[in-house]
Order: sequence, then structure tokens, then C-alpha cells
Amino acid sequence: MIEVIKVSKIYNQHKHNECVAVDNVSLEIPEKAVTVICGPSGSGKTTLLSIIGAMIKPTSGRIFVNGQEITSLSERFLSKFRRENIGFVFQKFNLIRNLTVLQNLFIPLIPLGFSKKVFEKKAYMLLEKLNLSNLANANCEQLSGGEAQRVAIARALINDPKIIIADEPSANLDSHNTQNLLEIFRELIKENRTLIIASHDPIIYSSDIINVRFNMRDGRLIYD
Amino acid sequence: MKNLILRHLNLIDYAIWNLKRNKLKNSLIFFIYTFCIFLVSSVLMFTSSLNREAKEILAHAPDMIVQKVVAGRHDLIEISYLDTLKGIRGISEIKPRLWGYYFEPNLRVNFSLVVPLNEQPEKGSIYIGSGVAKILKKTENDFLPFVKTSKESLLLEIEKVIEFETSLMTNDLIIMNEEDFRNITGMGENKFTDIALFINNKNEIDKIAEKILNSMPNVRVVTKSSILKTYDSLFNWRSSLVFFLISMVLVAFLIVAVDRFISINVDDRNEIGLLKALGWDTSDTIILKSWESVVISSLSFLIGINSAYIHIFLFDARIFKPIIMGWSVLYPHFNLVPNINMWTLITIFAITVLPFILFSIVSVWRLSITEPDVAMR
Repeated sequence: MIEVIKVSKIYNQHKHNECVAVDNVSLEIPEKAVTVICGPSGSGKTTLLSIIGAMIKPTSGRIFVNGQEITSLSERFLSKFRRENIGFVFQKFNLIRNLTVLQNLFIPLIPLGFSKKVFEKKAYMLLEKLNLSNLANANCEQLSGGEAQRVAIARALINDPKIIIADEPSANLDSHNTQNLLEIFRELIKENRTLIIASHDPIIYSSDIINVRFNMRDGRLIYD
Repeated sequence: MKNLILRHLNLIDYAIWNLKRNKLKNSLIFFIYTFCIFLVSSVLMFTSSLNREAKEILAHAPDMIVQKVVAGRHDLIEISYLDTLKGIRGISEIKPRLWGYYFEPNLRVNFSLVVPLNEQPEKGSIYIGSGVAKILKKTENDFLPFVKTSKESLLLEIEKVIEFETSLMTNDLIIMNEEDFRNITGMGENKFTDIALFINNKNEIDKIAEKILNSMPNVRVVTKSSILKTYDSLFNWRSSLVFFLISMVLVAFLIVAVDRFISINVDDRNEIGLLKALGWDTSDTIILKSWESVVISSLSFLIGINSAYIHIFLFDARIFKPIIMGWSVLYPHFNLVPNINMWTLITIFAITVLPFILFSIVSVWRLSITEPDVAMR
């Protein structure tokens, strides 16, 4: 379980352009379930996801992941935590341009000191699973939005993380590809992973795969 | 250990992918960088080779040269000066010398005419340096015409073409008999160009020089060490001039380096942020960017050094020669003898490769300590 306790994030604190992105948010995210955080653009969803995913430290508040406080970890341990526990799927896919699909999939494995054989075995398994085998050597620039999103998901899964964080995963997809994405998410739940999704896409937040839903506005949680 | 090696091999692989995916930008950096290394190396190799040549020449030179000075200018010295010198204790050998320049008007080059202290060629014969043979397209047994000061011509036979160990000062040499020399130059019987002195106790050189100046006020004494100092300062001054020009190129390179590494562009920021989000450690990103820099700088270093070597020693330093060289003795073509020591290489490495790698490490470190989310925004 992930516990978020009174977390706030203030950008440019004490400056003229101070911005409260997340304001005193507390919530609990159950394990092996799909949690969606919805809200309009600028409501603080992405910042909250970044804090939960240890990509950014909160200005105040604490976060516990399976009982371990991550807000107090040093940068070195945060990297380790991200590497071992979190898989990120970004809104704009964030694939490294001009690299092949396979090379993009290798990226999280590179610092681990595995051999090429291990890289390839893991990568091909995921490509197969996500129907991307034929694109292994394709340049990422040439992929369609749906294909790029599936590559991004494959990359998030390559280290076999227990938690998948997806920020507006359907923002750059049409409805057909969004449905495909939901199918992939369904498969991930079967693998007992915890999914945390930020989205303001009704296809996502109204889907039957969602177990828990939080609404955000102006950096705060809104309760219906 | 195996994991560590694999980790570095993987990081090197990724560094190469990265360099390839930004081909245009990295090629530009590579070319500018290689050009800078080429320039710096060329100057260092050139001056180091010149200095070595000068030292080689002076190794067998007399300890001291006495020249007569009239109105502040070098004049021919009379044989009577030898008697005064013989009276000064500490001088082991006194040898009057005959040498001068001969201007060849058709080719517009100066040759150095020298009568050796020992073993002169026979009258009517000469030995010439390989540079002279090359420029005049002459070989052994050919005849070389000279115009005497009386405007009459004199034909001398080339007995030998000499390949000297050093070519800086010897390449334009024509070695001849005393009588032929006096014939061509019109120099009087009892006059010499200067007098060479050899001293047994090298610690006494300055003291003896002082004695000579006191006993013969219209002379100047040139010691071997003062000639060496002159060469050093001459080459250093000239190389400083080239370094000044090169520094402008280096500044241009610095701007590229700054653009590349300090004000890292959005793409690089995104990449570092993403790598960290995907679980890379700060050290991983620093090692990655260091490998990128090592790959670029090593290649540039190797190509820059080799191009400089080819430029200086095979293509005769065509770019720098007119700037660094430039006194009349050296008009004839000459080749520098390659002289690259470890210090030259270390100096080139230290002023070109190390700053480049340092730039990359500092800038990536600055970015890597930023939170991934901030770096990606």
C-alpha cells in the first residue's frame, strides 16, 4: 500500500512566482489495484504522481510505500527505489528519439550490468506480449502514437516493477488506441501490479478496470 | 567485477548510440575540436622540433665566438686578434672561422658558405647540403657556378651531397676550400668572419668572456649558452604569436563546448531527467556523458595529433612556417626531424582533452543532481 500523508509541493517557494502545485494531500493507494487521479489540467495530478514515483521531493509531508518512507531517502537510494519498484509511462511517451525500439527498451537495464543476452531476452518477451515484435528494430521516430505508447509501457515493465505510474497515458491516443491501452492495463492487473494513473480522459477514469478514484482541483483532493 | 565491466560496456554502447543519434551536432563538435588539437599540436611539435635542432647544432659548436664590432655591426676580424687571445689563460683552442652568405639571384635564395675548421674540400670542390642539392637540382660531380665579387664566374665541382643529422641550419650549407671562399667573397688574406674558442673548464666561460671584453674593447663575445637562450626566446616568442592566433580558435571552440556542455539544451536535459526517472543513478549519467566525451576527445586527439605530425614533418609545416620561421638563412627548403616526446603529448592532452572531459562532467553533474521531474519540465 502507498500512503500519502499531508503532502504539499510548492514551486519557487518564497519567490514572486510561488506556485502551490499540491496542497496538503493525504490518500491511500491500495496494492494490486488500479487507482486513477482525475482532474483538469493544472490540478496537480502530474506533480502528485511525480512525488509518489520519487521523481521529486515534496515540500512537506511524507510518503510510505509498503511501510518504507521514501521521502527521507537520499538521492542514491531514490534512484534504486525507482529502478526496483516503479515503472513510468509518460504523457508524451518520452522515447529517446533516433534510437530503435529495442534500444529504448534496454535503457533502464543499462546501468545494471546485465549482458546483451539478458537484455534481449527480457525485451523480446515484452515486445511479444505487447505485439511489437515486428517493430524491434524500427526507429522510434517512425512509430504511430499507439505503437509509441506500447513501447513506453514495455520500457516501464522491463525491470518488472510492482508499481506502474502512468501520467495521462491516453492524451496522445485516439479512442481505439485508448481501448487497447485499457486492455494492456487489464493484463497488468492480472500480474498483480499496482497501477496509478493520472487522467482527465473519461474513457480511462470511467473504465471498469478502475478500483479507486481520486479527484483533484487546484492541488487539493475533492470529495464528491 | 564482471557486472562492473558489463555496466561500463553497456554505458559505452549507449554513449555511442547517443553520439550517432545526434550525428550533425556531434560531427560539428568533432571537426572543430580536431582542428583545435591539430593547431595546438602543430605549434608544439614545430617549436619542440626547432629547439631540438638548435640544441643538436650547438652540441658541437664552440664554447665561445669572438666577433669584431664596428659601429655596432659585425665586421671582419683581423688575424692579429689571435695573438691577444693566445695571451688569455683558460682557452684550449683558437680557431678563426670563415663563413658568409651567398645570394643566388635566379632562385632568390641565400646559401650559407662555410669553410670547415677541419678537413676542407680540395680547391675547386665543394660539399653541399641536401637542401641545396634539391633546390638547385644538382647531384655529385655536377658543377655549380658562383659569381665572384669581381663579377667573374667560378665553377666548383660538387664532390659530396651531405645528409645532415639536423637540417635546420645545415640544409642550405655549401662547404668549400678557404681559397675558393676568399675568391668568391673577396675577403682579404688576413681576415676572418669570426674566431671560435674552445674552453676546457666550462665553469670559466663567463670569466674568460669578461677577460676578452676587457682586453679587446671592439669585440663582442657570444657564448654557446647565450645562443641557446636566443633560440629559446626566439622560438618561444614566435610560438607565442601563433598561440595567440590559436587562442582565438580555442575561444570559438570554448563557445561550442559551453553550448554543448554548460548550457545543456532542452533535449539533453530531458534525456538526463528521463534516464534518472528510469532508475539511473547520478553516477550512471555522469559516466555515460564522460564516455561520450572520451570517445569524441580520444578520436579528435588521435586524428588531430596525426594530422599535425603529417603537416609538420611530411608537409613541411606549410601553415606555420611563414609565421614562426623567417630569417634569410632559411630560405632554402628544409625538413624538420620529427621530435615528439612524452611531455609534448602530455601537454597537448592536458590543454585539449582534459578541459573537454571536465566540462562535460561538471555540466552533467549539475544537471544530474536536479530532480528528474524538474529536469524534464
